[in-house]
Amino acid sequence: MDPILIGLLLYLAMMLAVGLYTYRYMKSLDDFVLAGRRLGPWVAAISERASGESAWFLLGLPAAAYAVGFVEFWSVIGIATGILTSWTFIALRLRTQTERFGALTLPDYFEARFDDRTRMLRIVSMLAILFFYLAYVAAQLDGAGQILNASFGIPHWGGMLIGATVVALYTLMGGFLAVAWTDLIQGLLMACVAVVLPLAGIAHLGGFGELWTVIAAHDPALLTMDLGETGAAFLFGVAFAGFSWCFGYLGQPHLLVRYMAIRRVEDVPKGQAIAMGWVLIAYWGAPMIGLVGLAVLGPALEHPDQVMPLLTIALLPGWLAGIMIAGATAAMMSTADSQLLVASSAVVEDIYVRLFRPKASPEKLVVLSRIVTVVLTLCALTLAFSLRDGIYKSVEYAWTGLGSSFGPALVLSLWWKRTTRWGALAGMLGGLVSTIAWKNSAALQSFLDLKAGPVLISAALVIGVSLATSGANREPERLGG
Amino acid sequence: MPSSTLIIVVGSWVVLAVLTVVAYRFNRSQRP
Repeated sequence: MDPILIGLLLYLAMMLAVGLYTYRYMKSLDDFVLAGRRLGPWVAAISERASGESAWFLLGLPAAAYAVGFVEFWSVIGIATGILTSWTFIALRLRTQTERFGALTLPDYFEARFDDRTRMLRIVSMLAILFFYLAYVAAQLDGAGQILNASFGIPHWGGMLIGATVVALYTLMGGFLAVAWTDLIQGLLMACVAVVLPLAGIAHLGGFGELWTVIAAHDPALLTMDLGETGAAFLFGVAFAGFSWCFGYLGQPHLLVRYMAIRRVEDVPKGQAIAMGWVLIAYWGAPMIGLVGLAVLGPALEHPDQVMPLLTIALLPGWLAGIMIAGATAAMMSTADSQLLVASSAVVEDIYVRLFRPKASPEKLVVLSRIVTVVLTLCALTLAFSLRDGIYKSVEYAWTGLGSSFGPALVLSLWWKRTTRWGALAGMLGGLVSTIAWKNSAALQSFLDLKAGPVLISAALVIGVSLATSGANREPERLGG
Repeated sequence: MPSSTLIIVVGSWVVLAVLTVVAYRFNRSQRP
């Protein structure tokens, strides 16, 4: 039997075993969506990192670096800054506030924070979550198709089907606790891949000097961080375009829920240090996989999204390649599972319980969550079959949509007492609509990058509308702690 | 490799490491 396949199957079996083990702890919706707020700092932090880094991290980002070179480090710097900002300015306050309000989800928090009896914040939040997460999960299933196609020649559609089945199975069994614990294993594995694979490639080529020489022979511009641009074209078109990945970080519900599930507020600073340690150790490796892939595999790959699994197979012995490919699968699975969970909780907790059946039994809600998870997986799978954008662009769209719908409203609601319900609602709607408009307009994208434009519009709306409505519509003071 | 690339990549990592320490202290001071 193929040693790569053995490694991958062992890994998948381990994930299912965790799901099975945590099955017995699922007694209520609180357990299913938030693990009863009992995650320690290590599980919370590494789980946040694993969910934050999707197939984008080990497939999309290496593919982008393979195409444009070192300029992708601007994206890496932006992402790292976003992670640091989010842990510093959101984690602790969100943890404190959500416990105080008894909020299980982000829409719960918004409704309680603004005492929104119209339910508009909840409904708009749910729409944004469902709309962008289906696209996000679809991109992850596309990633599963790419990995299994490159590694075993399984047809792309078959790989997507296998990926969807495994993720749905262990999410169904263990809920958030299974997802958080599998994330811990997956996060550590992903960091190993990001460090080991580029180093193996550099050793194979004979050192850094050789790597730079081979890349320069293809195109010397790949070693620069300006792509030959200067002045405003460099500043906005190159550096800021990459750096603007940081904005989306402030509004990703599948990551924010990790902060909410941390066991004690005192654990937040430790979680932050662990998460940033992961970034500093592992993040440089993802774009380096693309650059090493260019040097080892040449510039003519038919599917650049497959550079990581192809490089692994070219460089490493079978058993180790199996572990590395399991790491890439982990990147996809750890994100898709968390997003499915947030999307299903948006339907069950945010809509069904809050609007229709507030007294439904805990057992019934867990069953309903599982049914909704299956339906959403099928929807994402259907969408994945029609994806034409590639992993990098699909994730960029969903990332921006979530970041601009929730980021400005969340940060301002935590730090600015004058934020009003109408301001938050305008920011959410503005972020959602402007992301769709930006994505479909080349003129808007040439004016300002997709990742920056919608989030700035959303922030301007939250501030402007809050200032305009703060006198006429005084909010009860609910920002404390 | 151009020295500007090296300076930006390594420099940004050093800055991020320093900011991580600053942020850790800030978060500890924020605990209720």
